[in-house]
Amino acid sequence: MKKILLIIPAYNEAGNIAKVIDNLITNYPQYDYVVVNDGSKDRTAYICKDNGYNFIDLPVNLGLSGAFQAGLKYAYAKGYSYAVQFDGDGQHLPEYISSMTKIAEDGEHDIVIGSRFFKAQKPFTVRMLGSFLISFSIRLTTGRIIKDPTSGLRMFNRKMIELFAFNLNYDPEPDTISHLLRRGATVAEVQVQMQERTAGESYLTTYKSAMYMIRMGLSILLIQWFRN
Amino acid sequence: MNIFIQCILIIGSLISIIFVVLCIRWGRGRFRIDDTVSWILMAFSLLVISLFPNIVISLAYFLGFESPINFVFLFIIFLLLQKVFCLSLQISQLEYKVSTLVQKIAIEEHERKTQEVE
Repeated sequence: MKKILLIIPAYNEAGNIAKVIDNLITNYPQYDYVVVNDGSKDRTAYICKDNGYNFIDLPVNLGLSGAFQAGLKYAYAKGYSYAVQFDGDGQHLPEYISSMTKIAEDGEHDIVIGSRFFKAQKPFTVRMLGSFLISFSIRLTTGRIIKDPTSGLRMFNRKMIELFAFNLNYDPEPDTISHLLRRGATVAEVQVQMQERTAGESYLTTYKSAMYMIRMGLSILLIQWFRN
Repeated sequence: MNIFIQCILIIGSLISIIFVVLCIRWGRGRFRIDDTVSWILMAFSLLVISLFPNIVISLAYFLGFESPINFVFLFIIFLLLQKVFCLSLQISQLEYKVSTLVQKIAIEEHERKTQEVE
């Protein structure tokens, strides 16, 4: 029984998924993985089936948080100690998982974020403006510094797997990280590199980015005070 | 604005804020954060309007309403219509998802039964 599970939510990732999973299978057999096909309209499910990948096929589209939660329920049922949120578009590199695991185990952290800006300087671009604002909001409400809150590469320990798998409002998003920090969870960051996606469309299209920012800002700055 | 109406508005908006906050705090696990945002904003904007009615009054006169309260009513009706439209949209999507799920379960059940017979 391997103890680390990579959860790979995939929505219309036919162009990327095979490359990502083949890389995992051949070069990183020490990690288990599960693809969660989030009701894709393209050939994602066929590709997973044809290649014999380990995958969960959601019959309807649930969105990133619903798909990831399905993966977490699987991780919980199978008894994994750590679950990693891993993108199916090839922008996350599996070589950093070992350093994340080491930090998570040594420091007994609840969440380890694969951070693009832990040591590296955050570039001051329009795209990073949102990241700055979310970091600032988290610092304002929790007093803690999370340098890359929007990074989609996160590792969760057993306690977090259970919490995220069976509760509402525990989306794998920065506002949940902020909420957990306020409740005393320990979050660490590890410097990683990421790649630009090569094919297909991201969950976060430019059109959705602004709405995402507003939602996160409101949730971190306003709603978190009313949550318990 | 009539001081009596203003008092009612302040009390009403405070009650709605308390109600929304209590629902989020104690009704945990039942209310998604995304869905609470609009209610919290609405409750707080009601409070702001009732505390500083001059904002609405000058806006109403600027737009040519005879009575500011008419403007308030019209605006709230607009917000409610918008909310109902969004809810209707969400219900349509939910119905579609539920029927997709029911069909999938039924087909899988059917396949399992025919396999058992063979």
